[in-house]
Amino acid sequence: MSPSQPRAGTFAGAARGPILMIVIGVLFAIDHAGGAVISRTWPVILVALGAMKLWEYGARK
Amino acid sequence: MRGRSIIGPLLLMALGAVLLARNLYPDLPIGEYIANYWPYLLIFWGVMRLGEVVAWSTKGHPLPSHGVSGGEWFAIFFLILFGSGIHAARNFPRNFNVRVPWGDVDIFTEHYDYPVEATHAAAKAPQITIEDFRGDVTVKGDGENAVKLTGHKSIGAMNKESADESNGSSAFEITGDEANLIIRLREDRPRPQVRITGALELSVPKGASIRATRRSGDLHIRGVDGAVRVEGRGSDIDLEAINGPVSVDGAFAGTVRARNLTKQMSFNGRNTQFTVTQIPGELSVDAGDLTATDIVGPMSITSRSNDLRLTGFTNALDVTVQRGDLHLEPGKLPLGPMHVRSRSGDIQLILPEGAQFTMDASTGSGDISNSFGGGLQVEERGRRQTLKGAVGTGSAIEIETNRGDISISKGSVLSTPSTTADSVTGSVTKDGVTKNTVKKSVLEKVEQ
Amino acid sequence: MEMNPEPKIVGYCRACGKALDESTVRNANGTIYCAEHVPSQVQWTAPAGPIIDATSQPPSPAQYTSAAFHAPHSPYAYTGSQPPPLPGTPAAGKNGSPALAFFLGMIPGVGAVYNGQYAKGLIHVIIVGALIGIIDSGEARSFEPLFGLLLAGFWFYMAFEAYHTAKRRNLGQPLVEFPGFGGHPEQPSRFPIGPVVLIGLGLLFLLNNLDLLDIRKAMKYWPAALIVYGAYMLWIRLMGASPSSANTSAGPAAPPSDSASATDTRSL
Repeated sequence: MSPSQPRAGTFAGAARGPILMIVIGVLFAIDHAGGAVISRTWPVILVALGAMKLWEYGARK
Repeated sequence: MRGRSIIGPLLLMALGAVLLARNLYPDLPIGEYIANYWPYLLIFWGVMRLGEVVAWSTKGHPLPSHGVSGGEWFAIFFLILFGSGIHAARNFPRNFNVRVPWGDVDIFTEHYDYPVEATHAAAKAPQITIEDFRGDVTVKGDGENAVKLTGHKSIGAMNKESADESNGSSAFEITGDEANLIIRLREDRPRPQVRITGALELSVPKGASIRATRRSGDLHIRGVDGAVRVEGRGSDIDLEAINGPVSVDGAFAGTVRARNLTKQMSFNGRNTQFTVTQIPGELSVDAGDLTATDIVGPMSITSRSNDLRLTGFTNALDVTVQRGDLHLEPGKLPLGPMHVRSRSGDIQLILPEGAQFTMDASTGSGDISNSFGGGLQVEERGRRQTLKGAVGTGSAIEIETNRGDISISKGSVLSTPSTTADSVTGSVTKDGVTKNTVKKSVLEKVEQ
Repeated sequence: MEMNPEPKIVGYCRACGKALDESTVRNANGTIYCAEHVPSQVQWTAPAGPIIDATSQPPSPAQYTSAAFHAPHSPYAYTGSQPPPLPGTPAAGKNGSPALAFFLGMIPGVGAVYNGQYAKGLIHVIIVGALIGIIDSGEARSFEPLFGLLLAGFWFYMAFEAYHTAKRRNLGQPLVEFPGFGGHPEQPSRFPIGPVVLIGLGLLFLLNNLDLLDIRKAMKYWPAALIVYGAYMLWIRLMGASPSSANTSAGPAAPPSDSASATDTRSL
């Protein structure tokens, strides 16, 4: 493949899904370990999603 | 270097390892491990995917626009559903006190029962401490100067041998001296995978004071003269015929019910707190309602979201709720002072015929209906309505809600049909039209 | 191959997500693929430009990621003959039926899955579930009619959305699963309002859940969202850019709460 080929995705875009998975996993792990319950901490997922979109936006610019 | 070739096989290997371990070591609490540690699978999966993306990025490979595909998210969704389902099924009755209708679910274990019997001499008015083992306890006060423990011990284990072994190394026992007795579960070699619960009956001297720390299950206490203190978490709490002060503090998922208490009861739950001077009748509180009949104030009740229904209460009342409908029906005259505040919800006050009081009621958004007529004046400013005035000379009644209707009606005369018209008079006139804002329950009363 | 350094991106490969321009896009099964992943035996059409031999290029690692959860015989591997049915594509025909999509769209999530849009299906299910949950919990109180209308509207939206997606699929038009929200880099200069709304909502709910803020109490400040949105529009005007039509949900989403409650409480 020639280097001039357009990249399908950005690093931020490709990393978004995995990071989201990790965040969700960590929240559930905390919940099950007896810490903050997921019903309270779920907005962290929204924040993480927004932060990553922002990151993507910044990386694109 | 294919994403698919790394993660698929690894997940398969993990599944194989789990099933292998289950076959080789049947005693291992695999279910418990899965229930508690499945999120790490998600983390691991995410880390692998992230690692791939980082690796491709550093090697200059083209990156996908999404690191996790739609189909994969679907699988993740079901993993989360499955994992949290198992976790909930195994832990809710214990940790979160949400009662699952089918009881204590154990996926990989069976329950074996063993009888419990123990006796200990006790003083006339001993202090009895019930430690925080799992299971149901019923405490009854009687005339004898002894503490007797009966019932059974239930052991959840993989097989009978394992349960027998745990039975041999554990016991529900009574320790301490005659004045200070402790009921507890002794476990010489506690094993996390074996769960021991009790279904116990305790008969104690009538003068006993009880202190119970709960972890799960129901607690019934009946007929003791000393102080009763319950804390922790669990399902139902049932207190009856207690002559000492009662305090309940904790998160109880079932119904907390109190009957025939001659001293003060204070309750401090997650959602609701109250202090009541006496409960000759009955008071019960669960996740959505607080209902009481024939209780004696001064009392104060605060709640985040509960419907309140107090009938036949006497003396001063102080209520603060965030949201919920309130139905207040004092039992006798003269009325005690009332302070009722609600952020959101309808308030219905039913006063006995001939009640004398000073009223100051206001709603930020809603209607006020009043069946006491003339002495009370409704005033409107925008959406806000206030009702002020006095009927005779009596205690102050202050009612305030940010949003919701307020209805003040006469209670005991409603048996005669002629009062239907009465309850409409004085209802709010808006835009020159008289609105029949008679509350539904008032009408129901009329029909009775 | 000769390529423009900044080719105009017309879509993304269904299989690997690679960005495609006019010369690399392949239409098949009602959606688009890159040259490597276009299913064989299906007549694909290259709109313009040189035709690339599908088998001449080495497979990129990226192509397998999204296939990880599909059948072991990945439909995206170029096996040459008899392609297995695509996920979400009915085996009967190579194109989906818009009418069927419409009716399946009445079942939350199923319409989107029928169109092969799994993530969208999932999100539809979650939204319907959340709306029903809100209505059922009674927490919404005076907002309940609003949530009821939202639910009804969303239900029809799902059906029509599935219908239109199926239609586009049949016409071979490029599909974007989440237009305006998917982070596709078409308009890099746009103000990142989606992420900001997400973060804002997340923080709001987090504060509420940690008892640091009462959303009910905060609701009365909803007109502030109008001010913020106005400021944003002003900013856009002053910057000389045109305001984006998408993602305006930040501001006027909150209904005039008081009038809603007034009708509610007065209808005895």
